Amino acid sequence: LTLSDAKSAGLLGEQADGYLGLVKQNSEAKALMLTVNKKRLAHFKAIAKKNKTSVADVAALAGAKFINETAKGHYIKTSSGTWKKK
Amino acid sequence: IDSTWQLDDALSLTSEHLFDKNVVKGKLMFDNTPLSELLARAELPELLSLDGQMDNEIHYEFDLAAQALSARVSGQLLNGFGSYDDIVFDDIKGRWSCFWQEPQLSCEQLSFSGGEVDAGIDITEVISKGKFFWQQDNWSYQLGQFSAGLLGGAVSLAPVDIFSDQAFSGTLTLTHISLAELVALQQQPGIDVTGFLDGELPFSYDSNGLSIKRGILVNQGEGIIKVDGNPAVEQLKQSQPGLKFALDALKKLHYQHLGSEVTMSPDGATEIKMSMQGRNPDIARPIHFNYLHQENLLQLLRSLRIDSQLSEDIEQAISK
Amino acid sequence: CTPTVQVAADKPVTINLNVKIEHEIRIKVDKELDKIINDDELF
Repeated sequence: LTLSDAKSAGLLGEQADGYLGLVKQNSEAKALMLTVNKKRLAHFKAIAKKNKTSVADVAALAGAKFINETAKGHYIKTSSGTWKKK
Repeated sequence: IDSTWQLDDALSLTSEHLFDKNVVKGKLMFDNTPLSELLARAELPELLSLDGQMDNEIHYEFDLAAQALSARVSGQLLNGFGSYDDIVFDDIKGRWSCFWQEPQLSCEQLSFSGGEVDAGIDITEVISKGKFFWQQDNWSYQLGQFSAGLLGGAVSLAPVDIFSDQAFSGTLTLTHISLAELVALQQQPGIDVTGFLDGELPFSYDSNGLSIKRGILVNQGEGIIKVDGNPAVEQLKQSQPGLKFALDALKKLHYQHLGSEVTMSPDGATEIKMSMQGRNPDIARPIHFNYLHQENLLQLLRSLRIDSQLSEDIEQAISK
Repeated sequence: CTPTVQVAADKPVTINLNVKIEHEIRIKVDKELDKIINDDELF
């Protein structure tokens, strides 16, 4: 299961906090989400260290960017916490 | 039976046990246990690191027939320290007295005091008292009292119940906040302000973060504003000569009334509308000064943390 | 008599000043995040 397949199948979606979220219960998608989020955190930490800012700030900027770049038809989590197709 | 054990090098423990019919009772005393030892077994949030020295006294009862364990735990944390992301804190003291009965832990007292938090502004003497309950992965903290010192004054929070993964709201009360320290956060030359503010900041906290809606800050007594020799203001005077008279009025403004309204969204975008009425001794007419300040407060605090971190690095470099 | 000046003297001088501060951390970080977006294992 690749990340783009999981997104087009509506299993995973982007959240404002910069991390992937589970849209529908699916153990394979959940496992993929956990590994991708762990990799993302590692990148956020490196970027935060390099730019001498906090991980939370980098992750929040990433969240806004990822939601903005999400393809039409893929899911994003709204500020009220519900999943919505872009 | 009395025994003193050395459980893997960190946990030193003395204990007494009593067997009577099918119930074992006993007392365990853990001294100087590193908090990190205990937390290593718990799943902490990724960006949180915690350590410190703990003492714990446990009175337990184990019913062999029912295979049921219950225990009363009371203890204290001596010098808690750690960080959450780039926010550093240390010298935190803790105290608790709890009762464990499968599957619930309930603490009629879980309180923290002292401490120094460098969040960009120094937060000192944090006092937090409340009751704590924990079962599987839900917990709740009934906060009875919260106060902390900052910006020359204090912030306090009315009692509120906090549940894991649930939004909560309340009001932050600010008292005797020094305008001079507040303005100093901007690190802008040529701007001096005196006076103190009290305020009420209604807030709500949810999965997105903290937001403040229509917070009100009002002056506590009179004060003086001097905007004289600030590069940005001087440049404004050159680029817009029409403003010179008005901006010069701010060179020395004795204010009697100062009110401001604060809003902040979870991403940190903050807006402060301030209105001041006062007099400039060299100008006959009264002065009404309306100031709108827009900035991302979380990023301001982060850049201040970076500055304090940089100055520490420099100090260490020099002292080598 | 100088009533007009008197009236004028009471009319307040109103000063409106708006200040917006942008923290530049955002721009440098933005470029770094582009690399993550282009990595199909991460986005």
